[in-house]
Amino acid sequence: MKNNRRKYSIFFLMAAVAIIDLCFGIFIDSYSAKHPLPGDYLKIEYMMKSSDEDMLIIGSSVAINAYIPQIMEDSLGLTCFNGGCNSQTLPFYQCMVEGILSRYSPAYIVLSMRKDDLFDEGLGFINLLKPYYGKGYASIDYFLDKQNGRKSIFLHSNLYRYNTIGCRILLQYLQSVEKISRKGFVPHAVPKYPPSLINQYAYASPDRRTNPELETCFLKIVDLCRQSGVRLIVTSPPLYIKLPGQGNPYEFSALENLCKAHNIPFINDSQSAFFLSRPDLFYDNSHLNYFGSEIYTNRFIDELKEKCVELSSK
Amino acid sequence: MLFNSLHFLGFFPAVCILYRILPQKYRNLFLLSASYYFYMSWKPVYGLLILFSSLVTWIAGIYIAKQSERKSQKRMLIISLIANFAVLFVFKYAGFFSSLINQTLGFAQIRMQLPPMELLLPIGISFYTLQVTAYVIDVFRGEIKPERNFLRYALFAAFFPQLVAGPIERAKNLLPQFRQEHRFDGNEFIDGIKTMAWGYFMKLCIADRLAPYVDAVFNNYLMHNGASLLLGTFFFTFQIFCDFAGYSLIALGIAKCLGFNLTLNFKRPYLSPDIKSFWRRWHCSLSSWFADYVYIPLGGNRCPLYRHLFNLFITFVISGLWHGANWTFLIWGAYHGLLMLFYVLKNRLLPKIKIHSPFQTAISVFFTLIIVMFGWIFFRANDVESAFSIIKKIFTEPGMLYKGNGIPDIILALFCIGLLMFKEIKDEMAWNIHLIHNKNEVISLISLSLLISFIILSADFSGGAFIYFQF
Repeated sequence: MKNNRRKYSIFFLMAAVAIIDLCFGIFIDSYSAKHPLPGDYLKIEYMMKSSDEDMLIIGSSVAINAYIPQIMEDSLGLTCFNGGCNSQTLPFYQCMVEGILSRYSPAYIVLSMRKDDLFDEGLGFINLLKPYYGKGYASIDYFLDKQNGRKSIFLHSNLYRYNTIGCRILLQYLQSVEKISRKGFVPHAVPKYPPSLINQYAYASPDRRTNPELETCFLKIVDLCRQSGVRLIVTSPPLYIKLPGQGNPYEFSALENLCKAHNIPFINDSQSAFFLSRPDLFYDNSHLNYFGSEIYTNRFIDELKEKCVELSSK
Repeated sequence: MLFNSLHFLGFFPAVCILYRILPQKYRNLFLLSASYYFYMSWKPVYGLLILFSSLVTWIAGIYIAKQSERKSQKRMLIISLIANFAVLFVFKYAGFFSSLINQTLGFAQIRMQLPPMELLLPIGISFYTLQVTAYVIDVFRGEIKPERNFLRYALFAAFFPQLVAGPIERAKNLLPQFRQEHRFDGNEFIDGIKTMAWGYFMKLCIADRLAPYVDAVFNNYLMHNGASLLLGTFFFTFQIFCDFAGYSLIALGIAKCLGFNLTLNFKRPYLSPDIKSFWRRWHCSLSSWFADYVYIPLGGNRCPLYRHLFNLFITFVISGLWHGANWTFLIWGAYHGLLMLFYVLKNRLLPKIKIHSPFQTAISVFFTLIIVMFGWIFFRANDVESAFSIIKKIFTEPGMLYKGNGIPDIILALFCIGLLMFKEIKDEMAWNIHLIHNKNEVISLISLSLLISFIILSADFSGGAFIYFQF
């Protein structure tokens, strides 16, 4: 009798896991609707569901630490939000642009690109978008299916969708929570020792080719912005890395050509002579510290204004 | 095929169902086919190696039993041992020894060089080789009767749950189980699922989550300071335990679901109060193999002290070398050999200290864990030079901790380690707190479903291979 009951235990077990999965999904959905999630999730959720700024900055951690929206707002007279997310690349940017534009059209999107953005391999931390799987965002579904391969069948489970992320969300409450009050900008402290210059000039590789899939992502972003009447500006903040090809670094020439071909303004400050001579303004070789970002934002605004005027006159 | 792959997720239920549906007389044949499919889905041609080992040892077993003369029995035993260990040597050690010979020739300024021999190591070869050779030795010693049915014997050699990373089963435990009829037992099946779930927790939530941090610091140790390397070593201590013990538990659970009982390979090793106890709890099936087939034949401890110490030391050195053809494993084995020598000498020369209080026990456990952890540096380092540099850095270069994939990942890993250690301490102290193994079926089932849900929520599903596969 008992053995017979045990026979069905496996079905009870499966049902129990399914119920926990369902309850977890309901809980996390209602929780995130009432309480902001910490870190990058807060930004993603904000940009996907409630942002209404005139200008949105999309990019990676380089963007988070480079652009101070308050300064930009004062100078441009436009509301602005820095939507940079850590360790992200073009597929993520495409997903974000698609998600945002499905809800509203900002006047400008500033796409902050890194020198490797067209050359990377893989899809970056796209799994961060797992909670949005199956919720009507075609790009998110496409990239997550691609990233997870045959495992994407599990994306229908709420627990799996929050795999790692769920724990990160809980644990990030233990850390200092990124404040949305800074409009997405997160300052970096001034390090004890400034970084030393990395000279990549010696590693120039003329054979390096752009990743066609990433190029497609870029073109898709251009296309989405055009369709929604959003003005797209591509930028690249200062680096403390000397790139190959003085004045016209090889990596950026690919991006420059792409922008030129599609009439997208490109503000490339990655090799700014001023910043290359000021290691004290950097947190590390790729990220500005707080003083660096303040100086950079003020300098960048002038260039940005020019591009905005150019775009408005078109 | 890996236990943590999607492929296995389809394979396992299919095997369970078909095994139960089939009539008893076809079940062994089915399990054998499933085992070969499991192994050959990695590299089909290497299935021939298991077949070869199985054939040689099966014939040897029957031949030995037929011969009445000890001399001819011995000859057959030696032939079968040479045949099996030669295969192991060619695939595992030929590259190492050829490079060693080339270095020596170069040092002696002799121009002749052996061609490089880098063969792809068949996974699990070290495990099944030990298992089948133990069978022939047991037959030779008269401890077991030879298995006349090749199908049954081939299944013993290739039984998929324990084929690639143990436990290294003895014929007297596993072979008779293939002769029995296994009726479905609900209790046994659910117990198997529970064992598997805990194994997956250890593998996916701890070992695989710690792996990126460990790899980052050990593979780029020059870029990291002492604090990060110390944390990396601590993490590796748990990574290797959870990876291997996790695999063993999954194997045990799978076997249990099919109605078989395998040997428990790990018995709370990090709660050992001394090094001897550690080796009684760590990789038990391998330790007992080396004790029965290397240490005791060498003379064991029934000989003069110097010989006893030599036997111990050489057994550990061989055990180190079994793990891989690398100086780091040799040093790791020698390090543990030396620790055992100190332990034996201490017990012989100094009066025995009886540990009474829990505090004293905790101190002994902590001290043993530290010395074991130190040994893992040699085990994990890519070469001997790196191992010594890492040790030097740990003691001389303090600094900021490398955060790897972020503080949340580190905290999550530490939380899971805490959970594991709580269970280990609870089991060691025989506390009467049971969740998964609660007598109340409802509590037990809910606990199990919560554990499975926690695994889905926090595991690393990137599909990391098991560390011991490379051995």
